[in-house]
Amino acid sequence: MVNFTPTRKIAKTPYKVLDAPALKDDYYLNLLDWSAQNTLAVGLSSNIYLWSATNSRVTKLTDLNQNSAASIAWSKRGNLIGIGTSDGTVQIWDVNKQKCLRSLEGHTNRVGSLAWSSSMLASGSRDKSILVRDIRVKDDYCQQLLGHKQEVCGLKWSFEEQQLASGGNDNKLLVWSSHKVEQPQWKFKSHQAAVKALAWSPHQHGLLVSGGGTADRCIKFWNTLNGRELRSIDTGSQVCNLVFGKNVNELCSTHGFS
Amino acid sequence: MRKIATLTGHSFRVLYLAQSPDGETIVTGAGDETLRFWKIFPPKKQKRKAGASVLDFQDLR
Repeated sequence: MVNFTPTRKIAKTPYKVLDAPALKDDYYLNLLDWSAQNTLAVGLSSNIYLWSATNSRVTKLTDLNQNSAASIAWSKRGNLIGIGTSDGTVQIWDVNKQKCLRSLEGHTNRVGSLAWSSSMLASGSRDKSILVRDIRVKDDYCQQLLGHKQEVCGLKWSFEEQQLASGGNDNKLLVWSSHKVEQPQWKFKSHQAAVKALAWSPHQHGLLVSGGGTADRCIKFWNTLNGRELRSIDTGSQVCNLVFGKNVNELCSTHGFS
Repeated sequence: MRKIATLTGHSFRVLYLAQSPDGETIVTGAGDETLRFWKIFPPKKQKRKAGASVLDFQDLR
C-alpha cells in the first residue's frame, strides 16, 4: 500500500501588513507577542502598542519615557503583560485596567527576554543573570539563575513548566530544572554563536530546539531528558526565532544575516 | 525532515515572531518597520460536530 501525504498549499505572501514605525533592528530584543485573548503587543522604541486581532483596534498601553522596551511577553491567560526595559526594570501591566501593577527591580542592565509559566515570570538580562519571580509576592524575585557569561537573549519554559531553557550571547544553551537552581541541569555548548531562538516541542516530551546566530546558522534538536544532541541542520543564515505548529508537527524559523 | 516553504517579504532580518492563539497564523516583525501576518499552519482537526446527524440526540430535552 502506498501512502502519499501531499504538502498543503501555504500562501507565499502575508495576508496583512501593519506599519510598525520605530521597531528596532536589534537581535537581542523580543518585542512582539500575541496573547491568548487574541491581542498583539509590540514595543516601538519607548511606546507599547496593543492591536486586537479580533476588531483591529489599536491602543497605546504606555510610554516608557526615557526607557525603551527590550522585551514583551503576555501572561498565559492574556490579562497581564510583562515589559522588560532598557534600564533593567520589569513592568507588569494589567491590560484590562490599563494599569501598571508592579515595577520590578533586580536587573542591572536591559531585560531582553521574558518567559511566563502559570505561576512565575522569568527574565533574562544583559547583566548575564536570569531572575525568576512570583509577581504576587512582595519581593522583587525568588530565584537568581547564574550560568551565562554574557547577555541572556532567549528564554522559554517547557510545557510542563519543570524546565527553563535559556540561550546566551556566550553561545551556550542552558536548561534549568525548576527543582534545582544552583546550576543548570544541562549545558549545551555546540552552537558557535549567540542562541536566541528557542522552542519546546508540543508534540514530543523533552524535545527542545535551538537556533544559532550568524557564525552558527544551525537549528539543533536536543533531548532534554538525557542531554543528547539529536540533530543539527545548517540553515545558511542567522536563526532569529523558532516556533512549532500547535496542530501539526512542523517547525517555523525566521532568519537574518547570511 | 524537509523544508516545505520559504516565505520572503521583509527587507530587514526577521527578528520578531509570535503565533496566534489558534495556532494557524504567525506574525513577523523586522527593522523594515512592518508586521506581516502569514497563515502557515493548518487548523485544528475538527471533531464531528454535534447535531450533524439526525440520530444525534444531543439536543433532546
